[in-house]
Amino acid sequence: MLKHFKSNNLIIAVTIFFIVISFSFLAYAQTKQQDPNYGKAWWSLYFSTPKDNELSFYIENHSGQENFHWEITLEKSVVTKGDSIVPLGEKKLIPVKNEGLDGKRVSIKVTAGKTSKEIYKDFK
Amino acid sequence: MSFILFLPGYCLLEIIEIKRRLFTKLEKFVIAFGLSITITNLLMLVLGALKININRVSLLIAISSFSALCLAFNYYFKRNHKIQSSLTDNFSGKQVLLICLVLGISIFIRTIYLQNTMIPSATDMGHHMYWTNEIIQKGIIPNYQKTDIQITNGNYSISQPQNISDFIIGEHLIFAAIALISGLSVLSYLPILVMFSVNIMTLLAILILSLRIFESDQNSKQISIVALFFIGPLFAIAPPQAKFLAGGVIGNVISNLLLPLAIYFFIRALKEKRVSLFVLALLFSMSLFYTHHLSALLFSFTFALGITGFVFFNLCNLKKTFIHWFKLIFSLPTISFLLFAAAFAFLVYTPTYITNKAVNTVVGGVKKVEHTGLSAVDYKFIAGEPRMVFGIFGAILLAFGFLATLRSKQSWKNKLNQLLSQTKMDYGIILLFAWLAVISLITLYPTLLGISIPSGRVANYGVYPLSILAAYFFVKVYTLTAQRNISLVRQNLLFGLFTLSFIFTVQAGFHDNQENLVSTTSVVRSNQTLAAAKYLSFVAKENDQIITDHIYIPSDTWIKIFFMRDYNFPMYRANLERYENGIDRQEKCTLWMISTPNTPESKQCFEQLGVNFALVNRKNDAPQFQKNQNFWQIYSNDELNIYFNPSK
Repeated sequence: MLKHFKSNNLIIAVTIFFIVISFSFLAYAQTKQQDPNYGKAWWSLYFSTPKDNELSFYIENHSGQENFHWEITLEKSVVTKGDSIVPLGEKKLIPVKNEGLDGKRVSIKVTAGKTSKEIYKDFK
Repeated sequence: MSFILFLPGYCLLEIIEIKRRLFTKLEKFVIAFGLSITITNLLMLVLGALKININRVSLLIAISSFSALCLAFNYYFKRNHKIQSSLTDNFSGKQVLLICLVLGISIFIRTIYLQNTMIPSATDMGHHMYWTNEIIQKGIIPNYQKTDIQITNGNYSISQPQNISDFIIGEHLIFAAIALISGLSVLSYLPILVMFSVNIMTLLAILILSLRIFESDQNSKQISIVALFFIGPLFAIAPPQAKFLAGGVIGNVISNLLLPLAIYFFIRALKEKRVSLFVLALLFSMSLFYTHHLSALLFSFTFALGITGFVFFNLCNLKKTFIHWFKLIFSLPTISFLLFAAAFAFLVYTPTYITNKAVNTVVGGVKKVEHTGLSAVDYKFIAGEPRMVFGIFGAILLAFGFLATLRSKQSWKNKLNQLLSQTKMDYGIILLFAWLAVISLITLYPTLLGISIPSGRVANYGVYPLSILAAYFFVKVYTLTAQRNISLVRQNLLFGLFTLSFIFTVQAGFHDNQENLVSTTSVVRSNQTLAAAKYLSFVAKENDQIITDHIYIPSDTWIKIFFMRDYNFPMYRANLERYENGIDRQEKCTLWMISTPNTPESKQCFEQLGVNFALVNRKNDAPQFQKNQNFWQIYSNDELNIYFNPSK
């Protein structure tokens, strides 16, 4: 059968075929990997407006955990706490009132399973 | 991709072939690819020089117009010509199968390795994609400049943008062109897939180059297939193959395609005395100078040594040779092209390493430890042991071919004439020798030439000529085993030797692949850097300054793509050794601000540079910021923390 093909055409066709298969696979792999939910291995915590005295914060979940427990500490005493469910790939805004903060350090600690993270603002 | 990476080159080749078919379809396929990169780059530079915004529409119009013009020209002149064709597609069925198999394995191994490196992570790629993104976003040819930290009378400030010579325009244009037309982001699979396609074409370029070098040899096809085997599946991951693709060593990867193609055209132009091929050789050389200065330098040396070698071996035919060269050089197309190239360099775009006089940093003596040359053992390790060993054997065997005529029982005059008549046609072999000699010389003894370039990087270029020479050796030894006029004992001995060599080669090449297959990229860590960078780009405004870290933050060089404010924004703590010699880093602010943010000198740096955001590794560098009451911890993921100083 090969005799009926022009050999160079066949080499070109096979090369293009290999390239298409390989590139499709790599493009798929990259798209999958660049999805923040890849590996379901991390989550993040951050202030919605970091520059002023606003304390509302986001929990952004890219982990297998969905249940998050949070505590707001003024100086060293817990003033508010709560639980939130944040499904995989989503983020949730937790609104926090920012009254009477002058001269105090406010920290927000969030725990999910065995991992915890903290963010804080210090108004001293 | 094919619109950019195939169409313009193919259309131009059609013009070259107006009177006669000059290329096989495989050659045309490979050359069209390399030519398309060159043409697209030149068209974009022209657009930039004409102050036309480089965007999808202007690019589509430029490439389509160029291609249509070529096709119209081709149609007009071909109407009355019947094209002569002396070319046949004549690989046998088994050879085609073998080539496809070798290509398949080569692509497969690279794919397996690259699948874990597709996420934006490589340091160099991040740097290059910043400039690519600049073209995409601003629609202009980038001005390669960066700000830096300057010290004046003990005070720190950020300088005005200064010219830098680290980048060459040809490293970025093709990525920008494909991104603009496809709509893909630089933070996608685009960079690596473009590099991969260039790498695959390089394999085929070595195949067609080997075919032309050994054109007069009856085993040329076998040699080219074995050369493909040496460069394709063997050592498929080690530099300059898949690791260079994943690492974003763009200049090298593209020039590894352009350099063999330039050599290919010079060999053919000189052998066949065709001006059109000579012009293409010059065009590829020009493209090399616009893509990678190190490759262009090596190519210049190779060409100079090759021509000198050719003159030496053609002393009796010098007059005839010079007449041929004179006709090639002083022909209308060549003169026109040289004028075009000169006008292009002066009026359209001059490579940054020339405008910034960066050449002075390369010539005039070795300046760094890693530029002082490699030992033969290191060179062998980089080139791959079997490639090095059999490449040298191949070189000896080829040289022996010249010397054998001197040993024959003829008069010295006849011997010399025979030698000269044999070498007269062998531009290919002489250039092959010159290619290897220049690379080996600069790798092992750079001081002899007074050139200061990284010896390890130069050694990587050696794999190409060594693969071709190793293939020559293998095929010749195998051919010898099949000869009937030698004794059976010798035949078996040779066959045994050949088999052992083959097993050793395959084992070494694939063992190296296996060793290198382990990916060091952590997808999850890189994703967290990208997420933190995205948040930071959202909250930091124009007057904010940011410090990050290169030591503990993965994919850190990609952070600047989220801001596109300056190549050196955000500023970063570099690897510690870069602060030690005082050459790479003359300031220490970037070191202090991350490592010891609470000291008086750090506070001075933060204050005077206006740095109010810090992105650091959560485990290694967060504790020192947590002790500093000036900073708020505003973001935290599993890998990184972001700190903000509200008092700025």
